[in-house]
Amino acid sequence: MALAPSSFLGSAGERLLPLFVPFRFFGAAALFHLAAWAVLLSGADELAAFRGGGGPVLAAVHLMTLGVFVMTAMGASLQLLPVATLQGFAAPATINAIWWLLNAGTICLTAGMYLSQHPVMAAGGGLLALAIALYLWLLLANLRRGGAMLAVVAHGWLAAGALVGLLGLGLILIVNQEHGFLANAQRGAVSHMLLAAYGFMGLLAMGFSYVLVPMFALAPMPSVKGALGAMFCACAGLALGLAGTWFNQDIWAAAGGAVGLIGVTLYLGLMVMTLRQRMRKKLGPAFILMRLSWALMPLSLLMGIAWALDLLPPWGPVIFGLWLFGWLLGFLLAILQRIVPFLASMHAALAVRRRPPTVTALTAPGPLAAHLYCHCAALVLLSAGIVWPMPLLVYLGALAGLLGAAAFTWFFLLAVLKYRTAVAPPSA
Amino acid sequence: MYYDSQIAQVLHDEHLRIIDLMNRLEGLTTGRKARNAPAGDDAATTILLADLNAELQGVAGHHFNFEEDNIFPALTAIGDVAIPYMLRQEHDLLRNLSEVMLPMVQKARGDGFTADEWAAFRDLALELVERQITHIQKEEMGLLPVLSEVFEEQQDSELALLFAEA
Repeated sequence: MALAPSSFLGSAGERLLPLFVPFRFFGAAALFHLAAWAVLLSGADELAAFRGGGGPVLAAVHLMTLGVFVMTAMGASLQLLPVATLQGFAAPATINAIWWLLNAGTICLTAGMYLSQHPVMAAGGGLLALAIALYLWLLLANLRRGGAMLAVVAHGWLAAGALVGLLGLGLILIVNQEHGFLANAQRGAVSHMLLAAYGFMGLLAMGFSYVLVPMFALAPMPSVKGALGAMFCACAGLALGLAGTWFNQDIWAAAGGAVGLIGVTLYLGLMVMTLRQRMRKKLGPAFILMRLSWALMPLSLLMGIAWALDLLPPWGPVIFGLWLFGWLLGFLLAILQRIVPFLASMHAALAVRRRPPTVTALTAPGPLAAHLYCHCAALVLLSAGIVWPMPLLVYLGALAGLLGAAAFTWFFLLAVLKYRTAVAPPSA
Repeated sequence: MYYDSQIAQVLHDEHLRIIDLMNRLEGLTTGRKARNAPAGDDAATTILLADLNAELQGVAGHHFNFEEDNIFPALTAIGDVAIPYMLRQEHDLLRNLSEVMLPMVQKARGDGFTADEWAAFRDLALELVERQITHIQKEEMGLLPVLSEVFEEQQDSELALLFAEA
């Protein structure tokens, strides 16, 4: 068969996107990861007492959420959803526009937050709204197709709903910062965070876990009923939590956290059962990071419940936020370190007829080990620095995070370089 | 049933069998004990080499041929070209690896391994394990779950029967 692979990638029935499409999202996420830690480092002394408002901590938070979480989620979902729905994304120009708008919007918004410049922030919010609206248009068109992986598609629908809500609230919060019309902006900000973390990102992370974890571990997929049960609890908990936060009913918010915890317990139970039945015994360091992130998932909810019931000391809400981020960041980076070489090896197999590189050959273990140690050190140092509170520990934690992000970026660059070397035409 | 589709289930069961063989092969060729060739009378190695010999001689080939003749054309017909193309490329690569390894396995079954033969076998075995495992991962995620959408129930049953008969 004399086919040039690039000639059919990206067509309507095609489930495999050209490699540069997901990789440009992942590459940008790696750079925003670096930027987030660098900005946090510059405002390390403000973290322990952070209660909202502009400045480096808010900018670092949004570099992480938009630049790393949303960027990775978009790149991964654009490649993974077609696998579930049997319907490709034949919209290269739209995906290109999303990538540019998301990058420009994130830079603009976070620069505005860092410098407390409302017009810059508002411009960033506008660009992000456009990026997210375009992404939602693609996402919903794809999800309408349905597909064989019911659990993934159902999580995708609900994540899309959460994305609409968090975008709307985010824009309201930006306008409110200038005009101050909300009675309680902090409750709005907490609702925005809950929708972003447990809604959009959490639901996508849960949904794709049901495909990716069995694939990497070579284990049976968890039962669809179990996955939908966990999803129902997570959504009911989120709805209760949002209602409690919005209507100032702390007991509702705590009950929401408890229902969410049931969902998380079900989800983690399904993951544990999946891993127990795996055929592949060696899972590699990515699964150490993933297990750490899974441990932080219920811990963040327990902290959230205690916060709603006013049981936390002053440092509690910041620790809640840190562990929430620890869960999502650890999970995404664990997935990325598996799918980056995996996707590169798939495309190498398309491009190279004779002995394309293996996944192992495209994976640099040194940078990944360095990232794992630095990531763990960052979480421990930041937690300790917030609890005591000691700005020096926070500073060292942010520094460890920055070094880890540099190691992760190095891993990504090495994978790209090795792939390019493998597919380069042989010199005469 | 693990999958909604009978043919997906049949191929999945085949994957489980191959993974088991690859896990055993990886166990033989990694770790401290793999520095030296196994003893010629080691019972586990003898059984493993016999199973590997059967696999390289054509059991996996049957699986590959079946997919190329019956599954990939159906996906290509609905516009999904890249994934079947990539899987076919990987089949060719695994066939080539099998062709290189088969004489080594057959010689080792009769005479055991010399130090040089063991070193060459170990490297190829580890490559085979990795390529087989990642190939199966791709099929488990990108191929088997969609087969119930691609084939009608009647066609699905016929394919499962065809695989068993061949």
